[in-house]
Formats: sequence, structure tokens, C-alpha cells
Amino acid sequence: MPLRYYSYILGVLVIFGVVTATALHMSRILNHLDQIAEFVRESPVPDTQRHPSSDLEQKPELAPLELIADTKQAIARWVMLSSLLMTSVLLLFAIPFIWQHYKTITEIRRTQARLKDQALTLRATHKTIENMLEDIIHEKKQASRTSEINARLASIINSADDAIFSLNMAGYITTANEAALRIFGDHCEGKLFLNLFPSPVGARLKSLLMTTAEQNSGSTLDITLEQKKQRMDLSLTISPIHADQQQVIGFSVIAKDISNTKLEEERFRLAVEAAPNAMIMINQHGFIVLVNSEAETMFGYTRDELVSQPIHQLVPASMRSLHNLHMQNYLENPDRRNMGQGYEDLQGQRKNGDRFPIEVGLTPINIDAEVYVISSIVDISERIEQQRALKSLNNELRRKNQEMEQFIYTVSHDLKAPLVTIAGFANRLKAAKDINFNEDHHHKLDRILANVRSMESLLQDLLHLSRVIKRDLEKSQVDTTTTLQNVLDSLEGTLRKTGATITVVEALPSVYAQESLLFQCLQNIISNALKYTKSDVKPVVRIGAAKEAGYSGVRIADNGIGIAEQHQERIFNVFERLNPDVAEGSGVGLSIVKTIMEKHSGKISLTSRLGEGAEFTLLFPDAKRP
Amino acid sequence: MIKLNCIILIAEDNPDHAELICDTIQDCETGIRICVKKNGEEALRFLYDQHKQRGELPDLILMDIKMPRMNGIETLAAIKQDPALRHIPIIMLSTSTNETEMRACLKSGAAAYLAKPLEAGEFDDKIRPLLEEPKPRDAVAPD
Repeated sequence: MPLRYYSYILGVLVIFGVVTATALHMSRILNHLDQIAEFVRESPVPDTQRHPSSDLEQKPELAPLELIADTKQAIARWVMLSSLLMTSVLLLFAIPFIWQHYKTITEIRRTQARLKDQALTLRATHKTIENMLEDIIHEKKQASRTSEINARLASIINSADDAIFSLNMAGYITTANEAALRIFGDHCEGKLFLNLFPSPVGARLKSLLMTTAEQNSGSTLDITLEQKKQRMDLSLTISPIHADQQQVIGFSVIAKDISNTKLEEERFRLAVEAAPNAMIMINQHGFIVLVNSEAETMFGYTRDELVSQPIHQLVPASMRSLHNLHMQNYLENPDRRNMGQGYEDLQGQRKNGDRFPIEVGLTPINIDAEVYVISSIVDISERIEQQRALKSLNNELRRKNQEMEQFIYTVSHDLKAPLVTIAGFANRLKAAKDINFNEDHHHKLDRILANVRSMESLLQDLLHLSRVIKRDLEKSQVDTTTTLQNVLDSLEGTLRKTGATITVVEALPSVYAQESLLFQCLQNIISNALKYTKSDVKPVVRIGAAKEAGYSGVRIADNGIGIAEQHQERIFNVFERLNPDVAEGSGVGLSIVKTIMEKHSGKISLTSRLGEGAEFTLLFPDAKRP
Repeated sequence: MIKLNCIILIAEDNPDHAELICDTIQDCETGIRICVKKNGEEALRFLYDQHKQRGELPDLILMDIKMPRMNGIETLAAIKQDPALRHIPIIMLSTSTNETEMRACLKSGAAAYLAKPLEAGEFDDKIRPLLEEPKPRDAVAPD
């Protein structure tokens, strides 16, 4: 604040002080005057009270009270005037001050506005600078990243197993990675790329580089090199290097060492070649890519005639469209299976047009994301011929079997007719009253009749056997205990005669069989047990249950003469009799039992030793639960 | 007593068996006339002829099952299908006793099923009662 203001304020304060002092003194004077007036009032001055109006006109004669009042009035007037004056002076003093003050405020305002403008400008500038800074940082980061990527790329290229070159347009090597130096020697940089290879390869490479430059697209070439007396297979991939959009400024060459792949391919080819079947590999378009010599022989084409040809060339013309359809279906969802499942007569066609039945196994393989299918083809002409032969043999066998059954039936029937005649006439002779027979004649007639009976029983058994073979089974759940009781009832006479003991040692299971045939089995086995006994031992037959997974049945053990192990197989044969001296029989009984068990898909087994009895076990398959 | 002038027709291809059957019948009963035919066809033709000529029909037929040309089962069925002949009792004879065969015969209307050779006891048990029956021929009015 300028000094001026201080002097103004000081001046005002001085005046104010003077006025205050004057006022204080004045009030003191007024006070004193009031006191004086009091004194006067207390002292008796009657005149003044009697003539109050006339006192004013006669000044010298003015009473003290009027005097005092007059003084006070004068003072008051003075105070008033001086106050007025003071105020005016103060106002006068204030005007420049206020003016000055007004001017200052205006100035301040103007400055403030200016400052605000400047601040805005500053702020904008700051922003711009900040952006610039950010850009700079970003660029810096980018640059460091690029250099990092470059370094990494360089290290990738250097550590790559494949040889990588960059060439200029003239075909000179500008850079080469470590693998390239390793394969092609340390001094290859700066050389003409084509010179790294023997001249025939070089020529091909040259034309390849030219086409790459012209067509502006990459290409691949597989070559074989002799490096340090070692065979090396390389796959060269040549691609153009672009400067900006289109312009080609050089080439990159990647040389991949595919010796191992080639070796594997070679192994694969040899394996296919060595396969005993005809092997044909096709690609996903159905064209042949590989065949072995078996396939050549089988179809009558040479390898060159087959490779790159569609596979349907080997299929009869009438089947080709169907084959193509099936092949497309297969290629959409390839799996390892046989071709034409559920479809019997697959055929192949030879070069000369001959057709032959085949069986084809399909195996899909994936190589470099491409699907190939290996077909293993077998000429099954022979097998089919064999099957056909087997089938016809089987049919013939069945027919022969039927014939045999019919034969047995007819023969036994026809054989029986003369027996009937013989027995009939013999009986008539025996009964004839008008012939004189002596004892010997009668004996001879009896022998004739006995032989007829024996022959009849044999034929009866044979007939029975043929019926068991011929007739269909009527199976049901049979209570073995009841059937056994019926058998024992039917053998009652024999049981009594032999004095045999029959013991059922445990509860017998029910079996799923034809009741009459179960009866037959039990009857035949038990009657054998009663027949083939040791001369001085009464027969004892023990019958128990037999059980096996899925099978139920009975076992019948006797104490008879037993069967030597070497004969145990034979006793089930028709007309097989081991001991014709011990008992009479036709030798068909056990054969019938075996046939019955076979018809039931059951099992029959025998445990025996000579002189120690025999145990037969019959097992019938249980009924299948629905 | 059996009827007078009984006729028994025997259908049998084996002459020995036919002879044996005749002998047995004649041993058991005298006065029975016997007629033998060699197979079913002949027997059937004989029956038709007799019927056509209003001749005498047999009172009983003994028929072998296994015969050439027309076997016993077929002949049995043919006779049982003919209204004029079906009343004649038929006994089937077989060399083999076969249950299935027996059931088939009885089902087709046979009076009995016997195993050859025919025995005297069987004649008395099975044949004689059939010959004693009053002849149903009278009941059937020929047209």
C-alpha cells in the first residue's frame, strides 16, 4: 500500500483524535456548567424567577442561569459546526482514497482475468507435453520389444535344425544360420546359392528361383545330396521376400534335413512290400499312392500302372459307383475295420477283366494332417472254394446221416419180418400135433426160437436208437426222483431176482429233459449195473445228485465188475460188448444213453476201474431263463 | 359164438406172414372165410368192387402197416373216409411195435394194433369179440 494511504489514514486518525479530545473537553465544560447551574439554583435569586422573559434582552443583566444556558447553546452550536466540518473534511479525505481503491480493485480484476487466460494456455501446453512424453515412452518400449523379438527371431533361426538362407535377387547368400553353415560349410555366406549344389540340382533350383520371383509364391523341392560321403535328403522350401507390398527383394530358403523321414518312409515301404497280403495305400481322394508287389501280382498291373490311378480301377465296373459312395462314407469317418461289413461277396477285378472274391481290411493312417487308407487285400477264392466244398460235404454228410437213419429203420423193420416168419413157423411146428418130434428136435426148435428172440431184441434196440436220433425233443422240468421210482418199478422182477440194493444217497435235482428219455437212460444204466455183477456179490447201486455250473443231473455208482480204462471210450459205441459171457445184451444200451445225452446237449462221464465198480454221471443243461 | 359165414380180409404183402395169420385164425376158429390181398390198393379195390356189386363186405380187416404201393395207414384212412366202408373194424399189424405208429393208427380209427406174428391169445382177446358183435351192416341202409 502506498505511503499516501498511510498518511491519509494517519491524518484522519489525528483529526478524529483532536475531535474526540475537544468533545471530551467540551463535555467536561458542559458538565461544569451544569454544576454551576445547580449552585445558582440553590442560592435564592428571586428576581430571576419573577422576571424570566425580560432577562434575555438585557444582556449584562442576564442572570447566571441564562448565561450558562446560553454558553451551553454556543458550545453545542460549535460542536455541531465543527462536527459538520470534520465530516466534510473526512469525506474530502476519503474521495481520493476511494478512487484509489476503486482503481486498484479494477486493476486486480483485470490481472486476475489475464492470469486465468495464462493458466488455461499453460494447462493445454502441459497436456501436449504429457502426450508427447507418453508417445516417446511408448516408442521407446516398442523399440526395445522389437529389438527383443529380433533377437529372439535371430536366435530361433540360428538354433533351428533346418538350414535357413536369405538370398538377394541375384541369388547370392546374404545371411545363413548356423545349421546352414554346418551343412554347407562355414564359407557359404556371400557365395552364389546355386553353387552349393551339384549342377543338375543347381539347374533345377535356378528355374525354381525364377518361377518363385515371377509368380511371387513359394515352392518346394526334394533333393538328395552326397555330403562327406553321406547321403542326405533335403527338402528345400523357397519363398520370396517382399520389401513392402509386392516387390520381391530376395528369397528365403529353408533346407530341411528329411533323411530320417525318408528312412522311415523307406522302412514303411519295405514293410508294406514284405507283407504277405496285397497292400494298397490310397489318399483321401481315392487315388493310389503306394502298392506292394503282392498287389501287382494279384491284380496283374505293374506298379506304374497303379500309382496315381483311382482305386476303383480295381473294382468291377458295375460296382464302381457303389464303391465310390462307400469310400466317401468311410473317409468321412474312417476306422479300422473290414470293408463291406455284412456284405459277403466283395470282388476285385484283374487287368485282364477276371473277377475274384476278396476280403479287404481297412486301416486309416494320418500323415501330415492328411488321411490315407491302407487296404490289405486277400484273395479268398480258395477259401470260398473250401467253404463251398465244406458246405457241400456237410450237406452230403447230413444227407448220408438221414439215409443212415432211414436205413437203420428200414433194415431193422425188414429184418424183423423174416424173424416173424421164422418164429411163426417154428412155433407152428412145435405146436403141431401130427408130427412126431423127439427131444432133440424140440431142443433145436427151442434154439431157433431163442435166437429169433435175441435177434428181435437186438433189432428192437436198434430201432429204438434210430428213433431217439430221429425224433425231436420235448423237454420239460422233470422230477428225477419220480422217474427213478418208475424205472425201479419197471425193473422190479430183475431187482428181486438179483437181490440188489438200490440206495438214493441224497435228494435228486429236477432236470430239464424229455421224461421218457431220462427214463430210458436210467433204465439202461441201472439194468447194466444189475447185469454186469461179480459172480458172488449182490449188486449195490448208489444214486446221488450231480451238479455243475449250468448243469444238473444224477450219478449212478455200482459195485460191479467195472470197466478197464482203455475200454471206457468204446463202451458207448453201438454193438460194443466187452463181456458177452457175463450177460445177454445187444450192445446198444449205452449207445442209446450217449445219443440221448448228446441230443440234450448234456454230458455223460464214466469213472471206473476194472473190478471196482463203475460210476456214470449224467448232466443235463439247465433250462435257460427267459 | 361168432357169426356164421364170417369174412376176414387180410392185407399183407408178405405171403409167409399171410400164411401164418391164416393158420392162426383157422387154428382158433373154423368156418371163417379169409381173403388175402397183397397191398392196400388191392384191398381197397376189392372193397369198392364188393360194395358196387352189392357183394358181401368183410366183417373184419387185418392190415399190415408196411406194404408197397399203398401202406396200411393210408388204406386205413381211405376206408374210414368212405361212408359205406367205415363201419368195418380194422386191426393193424406191424412187425415193429412202435408207440407213435400205434397212436396214429388208433387215432385214425383202427380197432386195435398188434405186433406180428398173430398169436392165438390175441385172436381170442381182440378179434373174436369183434366178430361176435351184431353186424352193423344191417343198420346202414344201402342206397
